[in-house]
This record gives sequence, C-alpha cells and structure tokens, in this order.
Amino acid sequence: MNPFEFVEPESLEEAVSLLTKEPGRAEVIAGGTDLLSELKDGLRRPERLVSLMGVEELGGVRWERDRVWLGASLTLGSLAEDERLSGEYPILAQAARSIATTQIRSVATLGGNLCQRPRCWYYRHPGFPCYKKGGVHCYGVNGYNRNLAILGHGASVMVHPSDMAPALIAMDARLESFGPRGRRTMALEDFFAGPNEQQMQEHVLERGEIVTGVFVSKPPSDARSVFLKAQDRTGEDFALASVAASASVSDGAVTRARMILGGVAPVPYRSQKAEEYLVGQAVKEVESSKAAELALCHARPLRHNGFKVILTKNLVRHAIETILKQ
Amino acid sequence: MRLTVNGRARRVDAAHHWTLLRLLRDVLALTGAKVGCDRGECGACTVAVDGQPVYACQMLAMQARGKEVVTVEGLASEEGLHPVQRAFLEEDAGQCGYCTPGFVMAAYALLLRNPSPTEGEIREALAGNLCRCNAYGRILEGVKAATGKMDSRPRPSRGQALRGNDGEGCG
Repeated sequence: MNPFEFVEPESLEEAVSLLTKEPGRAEVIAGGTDLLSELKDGLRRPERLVSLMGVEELGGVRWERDRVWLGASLTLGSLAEDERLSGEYPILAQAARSIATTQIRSVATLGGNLCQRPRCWYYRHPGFPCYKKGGVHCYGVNGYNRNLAILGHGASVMVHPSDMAPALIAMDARLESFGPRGRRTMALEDFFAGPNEQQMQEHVLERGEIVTGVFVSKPPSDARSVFLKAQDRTGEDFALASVAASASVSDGAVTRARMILGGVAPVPYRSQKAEEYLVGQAVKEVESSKAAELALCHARPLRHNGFKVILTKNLVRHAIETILKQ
Repeated sequence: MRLTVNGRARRVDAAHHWTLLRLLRDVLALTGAKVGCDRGECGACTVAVDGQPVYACQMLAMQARGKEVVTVEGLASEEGLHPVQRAFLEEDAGQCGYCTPGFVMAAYALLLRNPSPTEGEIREALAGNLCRCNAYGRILEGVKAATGKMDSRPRPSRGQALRGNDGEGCG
C-alpha cells in the first residue's frame, strides 16, 4: 500500500473540511473493508484518509415515534443482531446477515455498504484502465461478463453490489447526508447514479459530502417483506442477484408493492412493472411468474450471463410467494 | 499509538498505512495470525478486536487504536491451553495447520457472544475461514466440542499478564 496519513476527526464539520481542503487527495474511510482492497491494488492513491469512526453522531440506532434512524457507521454485524430492528424491520436484518462473512460484518458499515465500488474484475484489476476508473472502455461488454449486468446498462455493465440498498429501498428509506452545503435528505432510490450520470462514483454525493445515516419509516401493520439472494457460495460471495420485496395487503388485495433487484444493474433496480401488476390484485389471483416476467421484461443479458435472467425471475417468484403467504 | 494486545497495554509505532496484521506480525512478533490471501477472504489472519472477529489483513493498525486485540497467542494461560484450543487438539480439527489459528479465533469470538451455538450458527460464524486441506468436518467437531466450555474462562482483561511470545521491546 502507498503511504498515506490517517486522520480521525471527532466532528462532521471537521471531517468535511478535511475532505474539501485538498480536493482529490483525501478519501473517506469508515470500516475500510472495501477501500483497503482498492488501496492494496493501487486503484486509488489518496494522500490522506479521513476516518469517520471518531464522529460519534454517525453511530447507533435512534428510535423515533414513526421511524428509525440508522447511523452510517453502524456495523453490518450490529444491524444483523439488533433485536428490535430484526423484529420491526426483518428485511433489513435478513439483508445485513447475508452480507460477506462474520469478520467483514464486524467492521463494514451501513454507509460503506451503500457507497461500495464495483466488484467487476476488470474494475478491480490494476491492469485494466476501465471506464469506471476514468478510462474509455467497459471491458465487461465484450469480455467475460458472467457476473455483470442484465438490466439498465449504459457506458458500463457493472452491477451495484449492495445488499442493504435493495432492502432499504423496498422500505422507502431516505438517505441523510452532510456536506459543504449542509445537511440534506433524499429518497435512497435517488442516491444511486448509473455510469452515464457518474463515471467515477455510483452515487450523487458532492465532493466532501458524507452519508450520515438512513431514515426508515415504520412499516404499516399490514406490511410484509422479504430479502432473497442468490450466490455462487452462500458464505462470502456477492449476490449474483438479489430481490427485496415488500407489500401491504388489505381485504385480500395488494395495496402497495415494492420490488427491488440487486446485483443485476449498475444501480439498485426498481421494477415498476412488477409493482404495478401487483397493486390492486387479489392475493389469490396473483401469478408470481407473471410478475417475474414483468420484472425482467427489459433484461438484455450479455454473452455469459443469460442464466442471471432465469435466476432473478425465480427469486422474484419466490419472493412474491413468500410475502403473500406471510 | 496505544492498544491492548492479549491483555497487555502496548505503545507502538505504526505507519498509518500498515494493516493490523503487519503490526501484529512484524512489530509485536505475534505470528499466530497468518498471511493468507491478504484480501479479507480466507480468514487465516482472524483476531478478535473488542471481542469481535476481524480480518487483521483488512483493517488498518490505526483502526485498532485504543482497542483490545486478542490473538491466538493470547488464549492459553498459565493453566494451559484454552478450551477452544484443547477441543481442536482432541478432535484433530485441522490438517496442515496454516488456517488453524484463524479458525480457533473465529470459534473463540463466536463462543464469546454465543456460548452455546447451534450447528447452523457455527457454520455461519466459520463461513469466513477457508481450509485448503478441507478439514471442515473435523473443525466443526472441534467447535462443537468447545461449546459450553468457555463460560468460566473470560477473555484476558486489561493488564493481565500472560505467558508467551508477546514481542518484547516494543513499549
């Protein structure tokens, strides 16, 4: 690893000022489990790392009357193990628990999970000056693209690796951030930016802006949800595809539906067609395979990843059958 | 920087870009945590930081500042091997031995927070450790044999002296 200076400010203002003082030379580190791989491979060479783990206000879970706030520096392990959270927002614990390994979850944070860089092997290989590293080509288009996008590709066929993102979007979560222009919140769905909008990052944060937490409203009492994930190996691997589904049912009919796909597109992919199909349907008449076809109707698989279309359809079907039975 | 390693408060000089693994092995001469993949995938470098299992290769030494680190060298005491180590020996839970310290530490961290895990919980807790000899069956038996035996053996507390190769001369 190239040498750098590690600084750990105690306030958000200080962190932001350290990040904006020398643009391009300083990077944020929280758990660091993703960043360290990039530093070891020389994909980034910051001169200074600004740690967020000393900023107390980024930690913990805050219960409010009709919503919960999850701090950006909350570890995935504590998210997975928080009993109240598992009870009231089971989909979040399911997603957190599915991520990586116990050792990674001890350290990796919620904010870091949302800001992860692509896992694409061309991106991770120091020898490929790929589009997401500022190059011209996306090597995944004509290269070995088994794990890459089947939906929504643009200038890059990367897939967004986050598991927390689909689960949180299915719960209509809002992201809170703090930057040089102050604090703001946005729908988490709007936080992510595809390759045509942003080349060197996968979100809309401005320089020096930091994710501070996520708000999740209390789900209605008739809500049900599930997170499902397909991997090559169940421990450790990133999702080949994941599905976060939530729905409300009253008087035997679906009144609200969310269907978010992970690991298949450059951003978490919200399948509005599947949602529209589900809303208004009588539970007994829902055909999960029809919803699955609709969810993947825009799929354009690459040379080696046609199997991901079938895999994702099966996950969607399974997810719908699971939540409608709950 | 200051941290506690195996119950002993230490003051060490560490470059900001060093991993915790490098600090433990090259400065503190605690070579029980192994260099395997150096990518946070194989688990050979597993140690406990504030009781949580972590990959020492995928954490900066600076991130362990002020924390309590336990390595495999910190498990045995004057009274002998730690129950997890004894169970691994009795169950022949390993083959070439390279991954063993990592598995022992992952099992130790599991039993710290869950003294009586189910088989599913053991499998989940060890999913981040790889054994190239494929001794997983024996390792699982080793952890099962250690289950329920750790309650009376709390982890080393701050300032408690432990015998062993603890890297003299580093503060």
